Amino acid sequence: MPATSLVEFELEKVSVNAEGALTLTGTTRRSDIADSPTDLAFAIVGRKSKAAREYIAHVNADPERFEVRGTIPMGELGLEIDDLADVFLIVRTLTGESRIRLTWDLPNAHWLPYPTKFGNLSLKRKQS
Amino acid sequence: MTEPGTSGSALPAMKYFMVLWGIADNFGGMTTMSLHRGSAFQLHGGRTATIVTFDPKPSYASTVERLQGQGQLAAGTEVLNVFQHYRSKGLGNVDGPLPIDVPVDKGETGLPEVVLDPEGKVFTRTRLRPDGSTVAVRQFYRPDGTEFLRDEAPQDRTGKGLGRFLTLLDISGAPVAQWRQAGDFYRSWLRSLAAGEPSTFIVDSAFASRIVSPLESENIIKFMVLHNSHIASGGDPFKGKMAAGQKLIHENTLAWDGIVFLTQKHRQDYEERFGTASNLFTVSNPKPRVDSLPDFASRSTNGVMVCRLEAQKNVPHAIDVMARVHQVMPQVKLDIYGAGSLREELQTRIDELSLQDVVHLHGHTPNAAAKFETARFSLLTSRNEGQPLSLMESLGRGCPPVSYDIRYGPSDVIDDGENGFLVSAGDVDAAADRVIQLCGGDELAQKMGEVAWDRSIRFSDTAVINQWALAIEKAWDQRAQRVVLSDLSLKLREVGYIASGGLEIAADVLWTQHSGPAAQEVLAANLVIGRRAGGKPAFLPMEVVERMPGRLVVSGSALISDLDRGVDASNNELDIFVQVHGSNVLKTFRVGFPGPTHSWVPYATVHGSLSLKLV
Repeated sequence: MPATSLVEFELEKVSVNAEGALTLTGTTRRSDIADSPTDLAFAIVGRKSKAAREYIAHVNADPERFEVRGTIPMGELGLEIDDLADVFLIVRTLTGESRIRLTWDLPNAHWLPYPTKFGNLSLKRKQS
Repeated sequence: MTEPGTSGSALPAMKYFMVLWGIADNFGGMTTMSLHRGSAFQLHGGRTATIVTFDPKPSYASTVERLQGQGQLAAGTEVLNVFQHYRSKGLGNVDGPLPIDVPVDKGETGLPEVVLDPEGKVFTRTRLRPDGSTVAVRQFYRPDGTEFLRDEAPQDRTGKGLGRFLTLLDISGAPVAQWRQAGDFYRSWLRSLAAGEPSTFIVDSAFASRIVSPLESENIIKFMVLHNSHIASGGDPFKGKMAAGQKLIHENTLAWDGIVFLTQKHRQDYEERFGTASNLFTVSNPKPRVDSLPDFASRSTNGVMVCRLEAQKNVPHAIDVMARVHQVMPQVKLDIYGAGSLREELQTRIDELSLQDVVHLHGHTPNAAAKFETARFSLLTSRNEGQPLSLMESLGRGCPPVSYDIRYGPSDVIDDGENGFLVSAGDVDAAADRVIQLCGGDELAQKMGEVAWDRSIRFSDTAVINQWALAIEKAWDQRAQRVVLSDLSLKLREVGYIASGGLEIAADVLWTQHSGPAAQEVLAANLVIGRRAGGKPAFLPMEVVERMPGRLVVSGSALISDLDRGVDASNNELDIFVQVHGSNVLKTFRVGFPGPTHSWVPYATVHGSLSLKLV
């Protein structure tokens, strides 16, 4: 089993700026990826088309953990035939590749954002 | 400019103006109150007030005569109209923009329509466009036949508008001054009335607020009186939409030295939803009590309602109340005074319930308020009110009211069980019980009536003039601290959704400053969490990251505990706002979903995974 399958990723924040760029921020343990050269990317995979687009994820290391951060220009995703896309962290090492599905910390994150029909920011309760 | 003083009068020594768009022949409560205030300022405040109007009417002479005859306008309280002023008093030293040549009108027009003054002399000639409503040109004439004002909206051959031109003309027909917007013309007139002296403008008409709101001068303070709920149809104060007629006022409250609420409850609702500012005041309408408490012995066991027969007054509930009362006390009657579109419908309901001998619709009755002097109780079952004058009239005549506790008014004037009864809105049984209590014995009704009359002194002209004096003094004192700015806006930088719950927002607050203290030193912001199902929003202070002229950079966050606090299980949606406040500034911005429309947005799958949805 590739060592990278043990990688854990904790999503911390999903940010969207005024231009519509999505920035994903999270952490992984240093020991998960420190042993060999590693490429990290966030992948957006169309639910219907299965088409995937990858965006480089950057790492800021500290002694205990790595902060992983990547920006996805959502206006340019170009998955026209899809109305849903899933988000993964791709971890590639010399020994293999892992895909980690990004998850909210439910049930703590039970207020999740949505745009109203007038384009405003509201939060909807995620029923557990 | 001299500082206004009191000189022994309750009101500071200033010029006072009550601003209405016009005075209709059959005006309602708002105009009544404005005229009454103008008179009361003179009779009880020791200061002359002038009523100012803007409707193109040739004369108010007969109106003024009638109002004075009816005691609705004090002798000496002048009514001025912008057009009548320039028609009769000459141009004087008009301080206005220099005229330019008006483009030749190449659009189509109909025949001129002429309006004559009461002496039969031409007041206006108006030419309309073919649509029959758009004014191409309106010419105003002096009694000697010379033109003094021309209001033109020329078009080119294609019908394209070339702007508006309002030109004052001297006796020889030469242009003296010219404005490109009617509002600028009106404001120039208002400034000329103030003549550089300390002046207070009190606006009652939402329509006229558009004229006064942009009026900025160091010798002028201006108040806007809110006669009705700021929420459309008197709806829920926390989730209802803003009343269309007041929308412009509330979008720009910072323009006013005073936003005046008639009741504390109204102001409280407003502040709990939008926050507070230095320019919010509460001043009741006056409703003087009768000079002495009417003799209880002359009171029947009848009740009285004085109201229009319209849906807002909810008269069917009063009929239902009397149906219940009738089962216990068949001798108790209700007399309803007032006219309205629902009269037939209400009579049908009365007939269906066989209450013809119990509930009587009397229609419009002059001086209906006097009926409270011989009644045992009054009823108010309205859905909403601004400040129900009939309730104050009832109290001031020693007639204890039984009232629904609606927004706004009853809870400000009724101390439940002391000078009347308050019951929950819509609680017909409770209202009937209170009526039965009042009619069950003389002691309670007499005692309550005495307290009602006694405490009504707080609505006396003198008491209300004192409230106005305090508001005017405070507004005058803080006028130099009023921040005058335009184009206040919020520009979102970024929204962050915390994966473990919560929200972060970073934004720029932008404005153009015109006068007053540097806004960047005065303004602050709150992140506001609005509860879609109702209830007070939560205000969370934001950090001001950077202050500079014309811009604040602010950031704020709401933890999951902040989002949850005070939100009941039935409330499944939260709306996000940013409120900007400081000094007279109070403005709430709905936060837009970041990014372009028709883009991908993050959401959570049923399993809690992060996905993107195309919206």
